[in-house]
Amino acid sequence: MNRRDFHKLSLGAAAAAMLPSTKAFAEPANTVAANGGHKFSVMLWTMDRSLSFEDRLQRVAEAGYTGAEVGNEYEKWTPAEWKTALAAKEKYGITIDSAVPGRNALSDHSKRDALTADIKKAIPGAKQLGCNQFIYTAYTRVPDQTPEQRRDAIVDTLKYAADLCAKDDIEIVLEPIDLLEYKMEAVPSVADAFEITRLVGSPKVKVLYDFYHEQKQAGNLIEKLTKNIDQVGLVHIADVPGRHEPGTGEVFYTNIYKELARLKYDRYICMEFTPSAGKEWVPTLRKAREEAIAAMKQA
Amino acid sequence: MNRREPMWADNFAPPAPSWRFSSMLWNLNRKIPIEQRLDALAAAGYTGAELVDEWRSWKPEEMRNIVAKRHALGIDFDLIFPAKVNLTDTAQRDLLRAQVKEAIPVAQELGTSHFSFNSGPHIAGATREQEWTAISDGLKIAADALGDAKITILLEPIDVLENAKLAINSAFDGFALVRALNDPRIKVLYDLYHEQRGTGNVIDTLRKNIDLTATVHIADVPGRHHPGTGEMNYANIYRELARLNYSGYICMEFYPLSDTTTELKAAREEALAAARTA
Repeated sequence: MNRRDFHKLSLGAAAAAMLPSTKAFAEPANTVAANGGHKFSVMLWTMDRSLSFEDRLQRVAEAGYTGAEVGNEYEKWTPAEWKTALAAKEKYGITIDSAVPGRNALSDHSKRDALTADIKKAIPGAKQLGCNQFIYTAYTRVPDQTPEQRRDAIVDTLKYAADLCAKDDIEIVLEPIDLLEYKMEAVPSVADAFEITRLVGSPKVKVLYDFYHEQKQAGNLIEKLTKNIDQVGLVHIADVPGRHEPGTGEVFYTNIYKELARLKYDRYICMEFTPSAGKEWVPTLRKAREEAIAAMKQA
Repeated sequence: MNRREPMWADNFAPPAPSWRFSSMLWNLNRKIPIEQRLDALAAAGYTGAELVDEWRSWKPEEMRNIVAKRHALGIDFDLIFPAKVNLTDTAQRDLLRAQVKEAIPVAQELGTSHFSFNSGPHIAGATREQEWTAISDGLKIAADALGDAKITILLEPIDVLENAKLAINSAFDGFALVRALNDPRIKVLYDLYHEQRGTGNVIDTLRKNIDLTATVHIADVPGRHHPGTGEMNYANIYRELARLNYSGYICMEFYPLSDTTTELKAAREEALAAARTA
């Protein structure tokens, strides 16, 4: 970000705050149109935990993003916190595009009551936030299950979970986690996840393709993206090693963004990294977004 | 900084590493003779060329011409695959010894410093431990057959998408196997293309195993074309190699999309430019 943009933004924000209008930014706004038609979001846990929800949304907006992703922290908000949070969401023009209801072993049918409870607890707040997507990892493997038994059990659980979410029009994305991060993970690669969601066969159950986890676990990122774009519900971005911004590691995101554009991917592109320079969220997120837009323009 | 470090470290950027550049020949235009492919390499600033087993079919006259050419151009065939027999084929150890020994005089003609092997196919009915033992024994037999020849034995892992039959499918495993051997004559050919295609996490594996990395092979994924065409950030991989003081060959093994010399030259220059910013 250059200094002129920064001042334009902060002056715009300051001026808008004094006006009765609820829209924070005059120009350039954090809108999908200003982002070349692409939807960019930020996973909020990547920001400092000492920052309030409102502080984080402010930074997300200042960096030009239109989306943010949460865990299930909203389930514990007081009425006063809800009021502040919803006002901030409105003020900064942020969509909450995804949430994480909980961690449940999807291949373990004996854990279904806990899964049911987690989803039911997560839905009302998600609706309040306007969020219509839940992220699920398959979590811990059940000992002694064969790979086929594991796959079929997860397919069954996802069908069940999708039914629970159906009347509220919430979709589920299955997120693989690499075995270096969690060695008991039941779905460590998108190759497994794509097979599972194809077997589920529901437009409401897709895959969260986290390029960071996939690169740590398996590589061959673009070929799997190209072959399975119809099953991709969300992408997460960070470089390997280190989980910092694109350009710090071994993944050449320019060509991944170009492929996403070529495949006409129109869902959220969510940044899930910690800045290599420490707490420099706004400039780092801004640069990551601008690089993505520039790459997608070349496609 | 302490006093023993050179003075320039204070005042100047470090020089580019003295990397030697090489290219496999099979992936370049096979319709043109070896000599012409060597011309393309020399024109691109390369001093190395690598062979699988093309050399086996060369007639004495061809061998003489190619050796004359390599001397004229200042190119070493730094790596060849010496044997057709598989490391996992425990019934063929005498043949393995014989093939390695037969390849030594060829290596001396060609300027070869590395003999490379893939792991060989799975052994029917064998456990992973039994397979690793067979591969380890095979590598040691090959090293013993070298006598006093100044050649390093390399294991090259190939990704599972290219060949699911092979017993070792990742550099991650290849390094573990070779590390357990603890034999300075035996190292790993780290093919970054294969590792990206089958396993990922390529820099972490490099950092943990730089001491066993004798040669690297370079191509992007997908497509096996020059760096920059795919999903790998080779600039950062070269920086990491420079930071780790890697001093082996950088061997290109990609299919050119346009003029061979132009692409090889660009790939070499990009590697050196990245290393200067390590």
